[in-house]
Amino acid sequence: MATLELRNVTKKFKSDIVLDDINLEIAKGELGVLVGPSGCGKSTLLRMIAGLEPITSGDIKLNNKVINKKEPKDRDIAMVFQNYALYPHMTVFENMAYGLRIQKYKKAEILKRVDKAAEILELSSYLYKTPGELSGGQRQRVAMGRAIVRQPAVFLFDEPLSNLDSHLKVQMRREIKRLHRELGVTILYVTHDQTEAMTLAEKLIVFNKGRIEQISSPIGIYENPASIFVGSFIGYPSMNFLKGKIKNNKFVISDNELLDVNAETSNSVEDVVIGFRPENIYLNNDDYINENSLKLKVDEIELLGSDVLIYTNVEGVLENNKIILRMHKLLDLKYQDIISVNIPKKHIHIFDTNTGKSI
Amino acid sequence: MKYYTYSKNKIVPYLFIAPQILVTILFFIWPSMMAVWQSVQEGDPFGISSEWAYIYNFKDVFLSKSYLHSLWITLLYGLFVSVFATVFGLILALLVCRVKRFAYIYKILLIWPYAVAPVIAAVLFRFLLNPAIGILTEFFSLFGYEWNYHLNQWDAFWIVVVSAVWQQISYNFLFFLVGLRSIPKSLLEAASIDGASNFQRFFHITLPLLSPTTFFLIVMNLIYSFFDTFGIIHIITQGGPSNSTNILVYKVFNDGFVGLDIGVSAAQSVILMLIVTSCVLLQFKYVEKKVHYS
Amino acid sequence: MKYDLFKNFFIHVLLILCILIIVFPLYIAIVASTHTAEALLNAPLPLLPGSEGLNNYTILLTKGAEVTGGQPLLPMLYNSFKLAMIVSLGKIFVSILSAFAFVYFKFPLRKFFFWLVFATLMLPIEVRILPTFQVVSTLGLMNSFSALCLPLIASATATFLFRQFFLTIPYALADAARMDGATPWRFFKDIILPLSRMNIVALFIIMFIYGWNQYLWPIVALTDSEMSTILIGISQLMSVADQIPQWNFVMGSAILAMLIPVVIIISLEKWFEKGLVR
Repeated sequence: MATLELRNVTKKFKSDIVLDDINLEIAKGELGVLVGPSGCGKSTLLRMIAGLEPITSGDIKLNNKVINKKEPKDRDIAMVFQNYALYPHMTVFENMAYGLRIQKYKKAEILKRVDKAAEILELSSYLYKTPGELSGGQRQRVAMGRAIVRQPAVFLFDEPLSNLDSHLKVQMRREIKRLHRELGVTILYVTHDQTEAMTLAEKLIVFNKGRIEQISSPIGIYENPASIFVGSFIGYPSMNFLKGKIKNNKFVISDNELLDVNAETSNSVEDVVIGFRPENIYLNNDDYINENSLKLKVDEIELLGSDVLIYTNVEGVLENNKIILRMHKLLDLKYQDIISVNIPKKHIHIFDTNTGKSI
Repeated sequence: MKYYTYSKNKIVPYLFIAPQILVTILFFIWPSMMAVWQSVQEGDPFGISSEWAYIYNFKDVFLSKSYLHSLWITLLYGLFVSVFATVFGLILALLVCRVKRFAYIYKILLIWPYAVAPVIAAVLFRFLLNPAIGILTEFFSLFGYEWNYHLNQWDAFWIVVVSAVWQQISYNFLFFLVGLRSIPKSLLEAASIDGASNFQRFFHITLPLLSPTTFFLIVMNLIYSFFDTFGIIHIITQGGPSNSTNILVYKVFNDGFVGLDIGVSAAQSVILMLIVTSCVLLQFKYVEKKVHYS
Repeated sequence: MKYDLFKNFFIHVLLILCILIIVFPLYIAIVASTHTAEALLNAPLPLLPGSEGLNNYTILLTKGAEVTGGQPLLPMLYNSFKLAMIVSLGKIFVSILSAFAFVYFKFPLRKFFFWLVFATLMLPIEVRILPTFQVVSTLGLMNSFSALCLPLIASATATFLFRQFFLTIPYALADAARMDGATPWRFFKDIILPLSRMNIVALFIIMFIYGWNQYLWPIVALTDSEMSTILIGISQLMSVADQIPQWNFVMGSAILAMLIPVVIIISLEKWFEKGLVR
């Protein structure tokens, strides 16, 4: 049974369709992550679920009850904002207690809940400081504490880590995971950062231009992207794409038969894009040449420490020929060297050029 | 733009704006409309009967020599007050900006006239420049100049200009000081490295960067000289001698309350409104532009 | 190095000279207020303070300059203070509420009301003095304190400044307050009002001075000397200043009339600057 359920949710601003027919379920206790580029409508969707913005059509259900028309406070949903949105003139305690005070909770109850949240978030010794005296990470925790004390059915996170430096980001990511584990709460989390999305999500929802591109587990999305967009958006460095045709189970660019592929439409000729990830490209040994091979010319080499990125061009192809390889060890390569690599069939994804969808 | 959409009670925003709307309608819209209405009516001074005068009141206004004179005086007065207040304000701000020690004390000693009412400024200068006993009058007579603003039209003009400028310098000074302090040091340093002299730095960097402030201040100074200085005229010259200081706002007051020619006074009010409105619109336009650039 | 020292010295001298010129009228006024009227009848006037100061000010505050049928200044000062307080507090009250509504609500006719209010920015009361007078007398408010204050409150300067300030408050605070279940009034009272403290103080200073220094409207709207402000009192003294010269009293009144606003501006300089220049 889904805790949070979206049915045919649509949002229009005047005549622009911002969100188009969104269907989504987050199960009780599940951590769902909505990921997409900025401006794709994911924050709008979150605000609509929170009740901060009206929806044009469709239903938002919480525990099987439609909540579309309810005021935000009556929805049993809490939200953690991107810039924390802490009240600057209130102490940490007052920030967390404000919502409870408005709902007229008893003093003792407020005290109990805030104390407990502060303990979980390691904020106990900061309760009487104002947000201005706290570090970015601490403010982030206060923002979460404000959500926790309300004990809502669902937590919404709107890009909560985007203002932190990369070191703190990693730390807070783990903290959110720990919270989720300890409190067992339902979370819908919005981010534009695919690493954050991959590492946090139990259910990953890839969003683009107001539509859902794919819903799956992170690994499912990584290994079987449903579209070119998903393939390119998830994973770093991005998936390699080559544009061409399929002829007799072979991928062809302007009459160059390049690679074997598992095409279902065996003999037909169609416009396709094939995609494969940088780490699924293997170097051929001198003594053993794999059949599914490509010749690449080295353009640039980038050291990442643990890995090496090799930027190359496909030999004999003039346009759309860039390919990135990810290797685990430093190779003795230099600019303009020609290397021979193979790409196993099972790692090659085929997409329709026109729709961008996986075939 | 998002709004605090509080769906349950649609009346709430209206409650918040109600007091402001009420005073605005009662004491602004209504009188303004009334002025416009009266400006196209011709009536007896007691308001018992009236009939359409169309643009005749305006024609009367613009055909009257005394009005055109008053308009001319107002413009001249506005020009002198604006230029002097702006220039002196800028010079003082530049000086204070250059010193580190005592800067705060200098600032305090320069801004206090802002708190002094124009009327009080007028009282002070009427004493200083009193034809019989004024200290400055005595000073002028050392040079053989017989100062008397009761008789000499230009003396009268200058005494009101000086009173107005004295009061307005502090306002200009403060805006320029804040403007100057917000100019990034690195810009001036870069210019010095490029070999710019003090003067070049001032004219090529400081002044252009201050231009929004300067423009704002000139418009504010004009509005100040056109309207806020009523008290100065009223205290020192009452528009005289022979109308040499009879600026528009004083004339409206005189024609309306003393002359009781409602239609003509209203027409003058409407013209004044148009003058201020154009000043303010100009200001807005400029501010908008500035916002676009930054 | 030597050159710089000299240049700095030069700037200080220049500044002190300018300040002396600006302070000179005030100094002369203070000096004049400490002499007898007779001492100020003929040139040359004294340039140093006399001994009548205490006496002059006591007379002014409690009895007024009798020769000219003057009134004691103390009640006038009180009236000016009352006017300044009502105008500044009234303006702040009216404008903070409407600015809040304009920034945080979307409602029918919002644009219309917005322009209605902001049109007042364009017309100082001096411009519409006669029609305002007529409206006030139509409303039967003539010669009352409300007649004095209300038209001065009807200006959008403060509304404009508050609006500018609210637009700098992150909008997410409003979202957070809604999530917390705050009604608009509570959001205003608990969040916006405390955050506006500094702006309120700054605006108060400016509006207080604006109210205190009002001149044209009070002489038009008030005929009852009971309600006279200090500036009206001075104006009455001045109207006979050339016939029955009592410059010691005139200057004393001027000093008293500027004392409160000047003290406010000097002691709250930081706030004043913030409010004025933003």
